Amino acid sequence: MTELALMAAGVVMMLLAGFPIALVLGLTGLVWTWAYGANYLPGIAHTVFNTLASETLIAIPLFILMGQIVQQARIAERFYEALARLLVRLPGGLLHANILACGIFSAVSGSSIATASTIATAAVPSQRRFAYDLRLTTGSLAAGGTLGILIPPSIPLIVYCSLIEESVGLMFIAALVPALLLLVFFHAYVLVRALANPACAPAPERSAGTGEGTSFLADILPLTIIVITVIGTIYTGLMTASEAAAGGVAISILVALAGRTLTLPMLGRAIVEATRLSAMILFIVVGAQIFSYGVFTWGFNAIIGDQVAALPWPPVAILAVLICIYLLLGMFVDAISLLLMTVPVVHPVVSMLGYDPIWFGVLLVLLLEIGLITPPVGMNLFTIKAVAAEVSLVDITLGALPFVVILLGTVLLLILFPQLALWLPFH
Amino acid sequence: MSDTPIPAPDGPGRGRQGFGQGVERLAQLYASACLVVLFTLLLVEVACRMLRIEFYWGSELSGILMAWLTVFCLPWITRNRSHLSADVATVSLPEGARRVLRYLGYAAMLAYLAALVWFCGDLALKNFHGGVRDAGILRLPLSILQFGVTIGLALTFVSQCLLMLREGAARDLDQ
Repeated sequence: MTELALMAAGVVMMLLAGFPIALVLGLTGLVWTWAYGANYLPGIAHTVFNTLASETLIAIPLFILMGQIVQQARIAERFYEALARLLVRLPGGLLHANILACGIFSAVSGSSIATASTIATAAVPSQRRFAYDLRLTTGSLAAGGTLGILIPPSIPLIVYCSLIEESVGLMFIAALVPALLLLVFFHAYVLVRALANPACAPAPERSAGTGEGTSFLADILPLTIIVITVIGTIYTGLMTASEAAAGGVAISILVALAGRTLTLPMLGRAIVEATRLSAMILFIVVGAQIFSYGVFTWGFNAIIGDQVAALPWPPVAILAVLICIYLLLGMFVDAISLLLMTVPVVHPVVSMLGYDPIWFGVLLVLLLEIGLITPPVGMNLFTIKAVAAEVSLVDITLGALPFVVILLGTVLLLILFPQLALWLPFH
Repeated sequence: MSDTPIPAPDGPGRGRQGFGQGVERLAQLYASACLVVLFTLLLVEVACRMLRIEFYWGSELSGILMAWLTVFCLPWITRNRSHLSADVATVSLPEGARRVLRYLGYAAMLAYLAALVWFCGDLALKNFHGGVRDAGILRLPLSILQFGVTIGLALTFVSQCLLMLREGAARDLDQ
């Protein structure tokens, strides 16, 4: 136990010193493996090679590339604008467009920050013009952006599957119902707020209309086709997640070509950006796997498992403690890093308690979503602040607070009804 | 994300830095090319499967390509400090303390990368001499992937050294 405490203290100290997460995890694993026995160190090379060539992770660079193409070809922005024209007369008007566009764009970006920034760039100017409550506007965008890591294809879900060696396809399908449920709850909240206080989302005096039918379809269809292709091919088992990602990239290129928004420099930028983002994520994954190697070499996972088993508490109480720890850590550590740091230790505990790892993956991502919109390190809050500079970070945070409550409610629902996540993948 | 990139120095350090950045750009270009090939191979594999044509290169090479695209992009990520870090505690520290922590970070990163290069290179050499091949249909030599990863990590090590020197040079200029 002393060694375990020392390891944890080392991690915390390096994190506080501002060292890169990849370094914190990798160096900790390296040092502790060396401390256990130098003859175990060559195993680290196997870990590095196996992680970098992992079949599960191949989908990550391709999904990121697909998101980059959609973002840079302005397909997502046109989709938002079309939705806004359609929904502007509803109570809550453009706020529904914020959430729905975030939800749909999530299904191609796989990233919360990309989702929040892309939709916010298109949404904030019009909502400022129509005198919408900016706290509610920015809150809905920050919260809508969090859907990026839950709605398939989600990069954290792929990383989680690579750590616990589960099927990415099953994981994606499991996340679908909770994601849709969350989307409905977000819309319901906006509707209730707009009905209670119409001034927070005033309808414009003269609606811009949905435009001509063909123009509306031309804006809505491209993103819809990409989403249906990616999710449909995975769901029907026609393609693996990596193949669906490659298919998604091809469809995105075709759609951008058809919309005459594809240029060679733009494609080049998307490829370079996708490579950089992927390398950044995969370097952290390598560090996390070396960290796991150190943890398993010392048998820390077994020690923690034994300690937890010895607790006179029911599994749900231990789960509640885990949830509180995640909520606390989520305030300070970003989503992917938190997932990578904790899953090697938490996954054996959760399995030992009798919880399904796929169900726990969905629950974990919901908790990570909360971390994205809670200060001081709420990445989505910063992203929205960067787009809407005139709105204070406090206002954005307060605007996102009701959505945090909704997310917590969804976590509770998932605990009470695990079938929300588990029914679809096994039927 | 971490601090902003450090400006390039003037004077004798400039040529060294320019050369380093040129190598990083080439490595980045190579990494991007790996992504394009990975995408193409996977797409061709899906098409071939639908046409009932045997084609294994997608699944056989995808691991190698992904490993290479990651490690060859690392020098750029290191130079631009695009890696994720939790810098909540350090932002409020005075500049002197932050600089000390940055140098500690460089030293730790160099030690980490040196260890990775050493162990990965050692295993790659052993597998090369032993003629070890993977378990796939094409039975490709394991050392192809492993030497590529080792070279990428070694480039990152060099990039990190240059970055530390550049920060030192920038500080000398300030004084």
